[in-house]
Amino acid sequence: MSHRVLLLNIDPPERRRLTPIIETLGCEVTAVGSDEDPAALLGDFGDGMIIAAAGPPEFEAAGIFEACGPETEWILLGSEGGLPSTAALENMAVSAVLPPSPPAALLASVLRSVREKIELRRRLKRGPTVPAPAAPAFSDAHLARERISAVHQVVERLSQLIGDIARDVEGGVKYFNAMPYFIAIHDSRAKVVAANQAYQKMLGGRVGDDSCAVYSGSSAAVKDCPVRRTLETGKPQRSRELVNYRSGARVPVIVHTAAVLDARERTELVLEVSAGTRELNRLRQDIQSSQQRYEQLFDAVPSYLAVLERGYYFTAVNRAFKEEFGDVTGSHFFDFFELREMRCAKSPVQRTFEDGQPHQSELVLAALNGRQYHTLAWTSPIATAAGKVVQVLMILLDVTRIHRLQNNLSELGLMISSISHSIKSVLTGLDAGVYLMESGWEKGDPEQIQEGLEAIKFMADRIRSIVFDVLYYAKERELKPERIDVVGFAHNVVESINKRFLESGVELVCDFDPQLGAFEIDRGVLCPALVNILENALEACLENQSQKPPQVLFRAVQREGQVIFEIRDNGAGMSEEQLGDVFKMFYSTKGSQGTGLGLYIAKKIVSHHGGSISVTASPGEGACFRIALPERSTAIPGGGEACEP
Amino acid sequence: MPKKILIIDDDPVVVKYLQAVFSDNGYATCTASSSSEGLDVVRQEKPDLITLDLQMPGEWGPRFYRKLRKDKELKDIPVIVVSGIDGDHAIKDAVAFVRKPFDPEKLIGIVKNTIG
Repeated sequence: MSHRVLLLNIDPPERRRLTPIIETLGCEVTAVGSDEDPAALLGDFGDGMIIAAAGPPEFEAAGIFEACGPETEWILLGSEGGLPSTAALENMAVSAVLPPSPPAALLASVLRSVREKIELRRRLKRGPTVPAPAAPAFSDAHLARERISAVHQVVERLSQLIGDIARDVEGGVKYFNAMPYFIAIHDSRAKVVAANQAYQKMLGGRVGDDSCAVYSGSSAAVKDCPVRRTLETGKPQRSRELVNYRSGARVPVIVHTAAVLDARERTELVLEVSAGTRELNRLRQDIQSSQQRYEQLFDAVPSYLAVLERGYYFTAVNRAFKEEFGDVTGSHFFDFFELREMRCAKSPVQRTFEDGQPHQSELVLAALNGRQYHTLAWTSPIATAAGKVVQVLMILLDVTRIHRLQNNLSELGLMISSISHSIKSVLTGLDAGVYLMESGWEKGDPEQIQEGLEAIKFMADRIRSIVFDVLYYAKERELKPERIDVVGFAHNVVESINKRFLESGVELVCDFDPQLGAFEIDRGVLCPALVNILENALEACLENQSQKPPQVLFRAVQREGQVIFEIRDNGAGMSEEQLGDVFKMFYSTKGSQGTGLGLYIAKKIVSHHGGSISVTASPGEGACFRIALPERSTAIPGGGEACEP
Repeated sequence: MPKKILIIDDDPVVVKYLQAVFSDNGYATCTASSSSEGLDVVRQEKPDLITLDLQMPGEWGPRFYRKLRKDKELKDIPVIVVSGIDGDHAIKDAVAFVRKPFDPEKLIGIVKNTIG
């Protein structure tokens, strides 16, 4: 059958140049000018070629491009600007775009390849069994040869396809590659007409052999083999069989056979696919045991391991994780955790999802169980064979303890430097006392001697309080709570500090509810803590030289199972910034006179008792410390603080 | 007329101590317990020398020193730092840096060398 070539919208001179080139390739040439109506010509143009010069838009408007079917092969001449619109291009099969006046060799080459394409399509369309009256030259033998070659291709493609699929299956690549899939095609006489490499290599089966030749046992009989059964019944078969390997081994396989029907619905060919059950079993066991091994490993890791999906859902968590946080599989990360602190703007999980790289970061997590965890988090991507990150493995190492230890160590360092500073100032004070006394003696100045003595006494007090602070800090002592009367305790506190108030002229107003009852506390530590806060209040009053008579109010009330002490002064008050720092270690507004430990330790003592301490103040308005303690001891051993206050 | 020394320190015991040491050696003294008070006293009393503590409530010594040096009339008054903290770099052109606890005789020696 010949090929038709239509020259569309091409100038007569160019037409004359192109026509001989096309005709030498054995094609019929027809030409249509831009002034003619092409639609009539194109109506049944079918599978020919159209060489069209890029032309005026009205050309397109005439619906010329849509008028031809998808089988029409277009070769467009022209530059980009003159090409049909995108909408038109969607309906066209454009084989090539050539320059406006293509060289003869180029055009010929393109035409040849397009012609081949059309020929192939025609042959496929004709089908293998429909006799081709237009081409009686094709003999039966020729057809049979062609068919076998087609089948051969199909088989190779098929096994390649299976291999490709296997390669896509994550992790299983090496198993699937090693899998002996036997694929063979048999004809209606139960002879092998095609077989894949594995079939030929492992089973020794060859084209032309009997289909039953590879089988062992009863199936080796010609009439009982699976191929024969399919040929007889025309139905797909699935059975367990034994095959003989070329190596001599007899191996069980599962055989699938299916009939390939011809146009008259008769079984023409049989497709046989089989796989060794031993390999399948071993594969299954391998997968199972490696899966188990991974699971055991996953569970045995002493850190918290979790696999997260995009969108922060837990896919799997290991045993340690479950024990600490419960089985959170399937739930959302943020339903269980709150990210308290992060060094970077993005969590490592997020970063790994984004760039597919492992990341590391320090995270502070608040868990549902109420605890706060300082963790080192490592993340690594879990990707498909294609490299797409589908999940992220997160390893959390709990460094809360290390963190606490670190804090303690740095506190200790600060403590030592602060203590040595305090000792220096006490030594200076003692020097001062001694000098004042000595020089007073020489001059016969009793007032100066008295001042010296006072200085020495004062320094002795300072030493005492430093020693108390250090001892309290150094010793993680267990509380010894006892049940004592609240009012009696409050009076004890007042007694310890009353003298200083009297001396300084600051008024201490006490207001204790007589109905307070008793509470469980360790008076040995709580009393100095309250004294310390009262001392601070006293000093704040002294600092403030306003007209108001300096006064500290010390109240004790009971509210909802708690005893609340309130210490309110009308002294200098504090700025917002100072308020934030007031309970921090070594924070002191008193310059060289404070160790910066007092309120820090007071807070620690109160929280050991299971209580809380808060402060409100504004500059010039005085401050109010509020200490709430439970009536029943809920003492927390060792402080029990999971984090910095 | 005896030379006058301004003592700036927040610790009243130290102030008394320095006062006694200086007056025993024939100097007049005036005192301030903070940086801001110190500036007022400097302007009022025009002392011949200042001893300055570094760590004080409110403004620390170095800030006082900077303010002092900006004032044309006051910038030449010699300053001796008397402090418990290591801060000899904090005030670069101080006459001397005396660490607490200090030896009174050494301090007097420095003062005598400075203002006679």
